[in-house]
Amino acid sequence: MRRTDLAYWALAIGTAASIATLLAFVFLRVPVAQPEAGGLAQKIFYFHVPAAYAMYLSGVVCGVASGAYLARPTTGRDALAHAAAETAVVFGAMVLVSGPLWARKAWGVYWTWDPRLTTLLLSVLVYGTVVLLRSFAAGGDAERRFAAAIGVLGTVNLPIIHYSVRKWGGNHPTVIGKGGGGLRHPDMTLALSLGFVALTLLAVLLLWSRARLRAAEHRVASLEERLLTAEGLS
Amino acid sequence: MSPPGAPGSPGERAAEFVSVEGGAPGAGASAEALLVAAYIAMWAIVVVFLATSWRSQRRLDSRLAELERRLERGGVEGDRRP
Repeated sequence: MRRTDLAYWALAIGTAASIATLLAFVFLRVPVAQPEAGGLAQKIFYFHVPAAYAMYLSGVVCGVASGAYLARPTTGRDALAHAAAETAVVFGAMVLVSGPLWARKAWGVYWTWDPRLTTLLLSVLVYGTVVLLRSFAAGGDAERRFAAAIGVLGTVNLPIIHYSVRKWGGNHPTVIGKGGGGLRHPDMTLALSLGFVALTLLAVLLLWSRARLRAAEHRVASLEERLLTAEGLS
Repeated sequence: MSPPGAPGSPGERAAEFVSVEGGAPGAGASAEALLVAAYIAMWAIVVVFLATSWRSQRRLDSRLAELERRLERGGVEGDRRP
């Protein structure tokens, strides 16, 4: 087995183990939160917040790879930007699905046009646009460049999501820093840290898998074109 | 957006859980049901993503098999040429 394959399987096993540990810790050890934080429903938090962080991570990778592709187009950069946009949508969807269910208990409504919620939705829509563009438009250089430009735009929005709470208030509490979003027990902080580790590993695993797949698709498409040209000449 | 009596500055508001104006926190919603629904939905998204990767991989495999067939055909025809 090659070294990269070994690293890939080690990452996959590490990801599964960390997620299993986190689930066990959250449900067996971490105490139920105060009622104003949603009580039992607050346990959504330990995956909701790390999923948002994983979306930021994927978004940053998408922005950097897209920017690099615009500067000097290569197959690897394009594959990474495409894969990162897809994983950003996955983690963004996790946040957008879990958040309203927790909000129903903590805020009394599923959704409110709070600055953080709105800016996060906007970012997920931007990355969703990249994915749709890559899926349905022809795979030419112009489409790739346009998708890369949108990918950069989505990443520019990420700091706005993060600082929107401090700048404009709203209902969404700050998680890290001032007040810590109501984490009142050391086990809650530990569970959140475990969540960051587990979802970072998951993000890297999904990114790696998808980028390899997209790069392989590029290579196959290039071989198909070369073969078609060769067949046309013979 | 802020309910009456909520702390004023964004900094203060950001450190607490405050219900939305007109919302009824906790009323008519089972925390257990919301928790289970959230966990199922979150992992369903990951599973669907993995399933699309699996499907893309299968499609790629069939394209590779087709390429191999065409190469073999081309190779045989090439051998026959003088």
